[in-house]
Amino acid sequence: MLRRFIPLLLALLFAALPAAAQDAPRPITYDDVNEVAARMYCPECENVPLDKCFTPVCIQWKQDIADQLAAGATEETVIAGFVARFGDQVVGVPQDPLLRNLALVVPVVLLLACAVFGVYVVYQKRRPAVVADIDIPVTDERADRRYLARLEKDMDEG
Amino acid sequence: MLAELGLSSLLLALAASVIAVGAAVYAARTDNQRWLVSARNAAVITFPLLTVSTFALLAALMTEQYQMAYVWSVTDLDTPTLYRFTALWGSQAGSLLFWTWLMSLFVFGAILINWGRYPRLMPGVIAYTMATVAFFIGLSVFLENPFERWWLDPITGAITAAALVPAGMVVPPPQILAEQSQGLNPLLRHFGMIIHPPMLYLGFVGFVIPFAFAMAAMTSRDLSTGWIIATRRWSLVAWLFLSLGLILGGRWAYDVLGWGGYWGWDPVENAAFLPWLLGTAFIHSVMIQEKRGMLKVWNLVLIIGTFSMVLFATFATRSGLIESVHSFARSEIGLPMFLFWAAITGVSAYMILVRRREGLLKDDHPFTNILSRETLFVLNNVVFVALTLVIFWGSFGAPIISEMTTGTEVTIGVEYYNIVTPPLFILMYFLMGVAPLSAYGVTSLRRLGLNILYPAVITAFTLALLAVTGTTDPAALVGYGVTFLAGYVALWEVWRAAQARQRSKGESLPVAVLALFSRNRRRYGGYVVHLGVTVIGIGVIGSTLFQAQTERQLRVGESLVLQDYTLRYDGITLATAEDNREMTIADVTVLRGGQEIARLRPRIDDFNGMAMSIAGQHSTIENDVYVLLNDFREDTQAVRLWLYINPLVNLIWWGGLILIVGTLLGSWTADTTPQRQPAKPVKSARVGEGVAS
Repeated sequence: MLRRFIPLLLALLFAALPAAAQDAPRPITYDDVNEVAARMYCPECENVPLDKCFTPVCIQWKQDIADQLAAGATEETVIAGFVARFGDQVVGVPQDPLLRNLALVVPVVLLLACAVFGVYVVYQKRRPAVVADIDIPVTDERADRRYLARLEKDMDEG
Repeated sequence: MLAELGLSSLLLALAASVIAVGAAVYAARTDNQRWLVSARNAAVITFPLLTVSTFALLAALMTEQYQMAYVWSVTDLDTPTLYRFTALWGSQAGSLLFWTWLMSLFVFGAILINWGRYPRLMPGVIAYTMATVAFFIGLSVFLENPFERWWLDPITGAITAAALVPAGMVVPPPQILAEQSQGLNPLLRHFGMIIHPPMLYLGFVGFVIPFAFAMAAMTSRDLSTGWIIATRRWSLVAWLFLSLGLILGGRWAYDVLGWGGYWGWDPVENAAFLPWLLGTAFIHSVMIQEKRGMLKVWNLVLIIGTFSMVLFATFATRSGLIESVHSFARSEIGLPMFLFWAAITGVSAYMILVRRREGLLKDDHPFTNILSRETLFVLNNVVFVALTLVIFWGSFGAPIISEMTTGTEVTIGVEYYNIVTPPLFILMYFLMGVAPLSAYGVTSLRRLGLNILYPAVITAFTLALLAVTGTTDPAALVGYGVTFLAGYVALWEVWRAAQARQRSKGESLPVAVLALFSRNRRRYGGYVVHLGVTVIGIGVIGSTLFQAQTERQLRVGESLVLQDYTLRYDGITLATAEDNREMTIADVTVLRGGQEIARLRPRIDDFNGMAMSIAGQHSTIENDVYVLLNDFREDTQAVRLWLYINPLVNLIWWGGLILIVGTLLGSWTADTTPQRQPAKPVKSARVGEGVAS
């Protein structure tokens, strides 16, 4: 009779193997919470990162983060949840596509404008000149004299 | 008595500054020397008057005159003498007076030193500097008066603050005022606060001098290099103080704010950084105008931009536009300050456009070569301006536009700056390395390549060494690469010139180096500054990219481990300080490789409910072991400790020191005063009458 159940018991044990391979749920540490909180900002103190803030509301928010992480939420879903509840003010760069573009595209435009301006200034006022390749290694005596003469001239000019 | 003395001298200073502006404008329009002398005298007397006013407030702070509302708000019976002194700039009204007094000191010095040398520029210099001083005195008199006193209505019992005694009111009982006094903001009770604000203020106000000279040059149409030579040292001094203010501010944040860092991209920090960026571009760019007569418009734009950013930073900090640990409470001075900033910037920009259209700002030479020093300086300037624009956008532009257009408040935080600024800083360091190797006028690629060869090879060796010893992060290697290159170029330039002198003149190496520094302190002082900026850069890269941290709760005797450091919690000490703050002090031992290396005492200071976490630090050139006490539970005696390992962070402070030495060397130049500038023909007075030389 017992023999008939042996395959069934083995099958159950086999099925339980993956479960045994899983770790016990890892406790959430302060470092886990800080990693998420470092990407968020205090809702009361303007521009103070959440992980560095110890106002009552920030302590509560960090507890919320710990609870959500313990419940299996990922870093991104935790942050998205806070943004949905409290707005884009709680993150360092807005999540809203329009505001995100406003924040990040404008600097690129500014940088391009600066680059174009720099090139324009130099080229607009440029006059080609003959370039003389006169430098030879500094160990050469003539080069030393030439270099020193140029240095002295530079220094005399202040 | 002190309040009356301070207020009356403040009013007299306002009158003197207004008279100075009026007389200077009239003198400029009529070429009347007598009016110019009157303007000078009125301008010069403003500083002693403001000195009386400032010292009256200081004396009131020291002697505990709690009837004065300012003294009442920033000190109390427990405030130590040292912090009574720093309370002078501890809140809006006092710091505004102090700011104005420092500006008048600069103006006083600039007028007396340059009076005989640049007579044609003087009317403009006096008008623009004193208009600025008058505006700030006006703010102190009408909106943020530090000499207001408390008055009691004996019938209703209401208390009100007023500069002059309101009808029917009497002086409140001094004992009650003393007992209810507020005391200094705990964040400001730190040794760094003795130095940081004055340095920053000196840096800010110092730029009024080059700005005023630039405006005077445009007003008088005397757009030779005179205004640049006149302001060379003033610009360097202002830049030095601003640099010091920023570095000391970083140190204060590191020690007092308790977050393990020194720069948080806070809008107010950024506001102070913006004039530094443009000012740095300016002190480089003026060299091109001096030597080659180029970049005339650009230099005007830079100095006006720098001063405009100074005014904007002051407005942003003091108006409540942004909130941060630095900013003062929202106040009534916001609108007038904004209007003043807009007016100064608008008028200055208009003047540039007009003078440019008149053809007065044409360059003496064109750019002749893409690799010439002047071209590379322009490119470096463009990088500084780009940094200014993107930081301004993140700090003010995006948040304000978002709120105005969509009604959504946004935070632009570290993530933004970590995306947009690193490429620009890399380019800045790269050009800082390459530009000094290039010659004015013409440089070939081959020549530049030969010049950079040795520093580049040493940089490559350094990077290989770093990679072998475990630094494999590509971002770190790129950062270290350009930073080391800039530093090696500075050293190489000194070495190469000294070697050439040794061979040609037979001097020993120390004599050759000394000779170089004494012949051209500006150039070699500049290399020392570059070296300082290199050391700062290495510190910033190390402490930013390789910071390690962990937070744990520990009971007595328990330890936590981070990298090869062990932190053991030994116990707690509760104490009361002299100024009545309650201190909770954790006793911790730091071990490395099983050996005790330090005992630290991170603590929480409680100022009547306002808590501050003061770090325990063990500093070496390699790193800082930085420990914060975040929480203490009386029932279990357990603490929550936050341990940071901040690699190379101390290089930032050492680099700052090198930068100071270099700037002092660079600004201590031989006298470069040009020939005395001839004065304009005088219509209604004898030439030189009353003019000091």
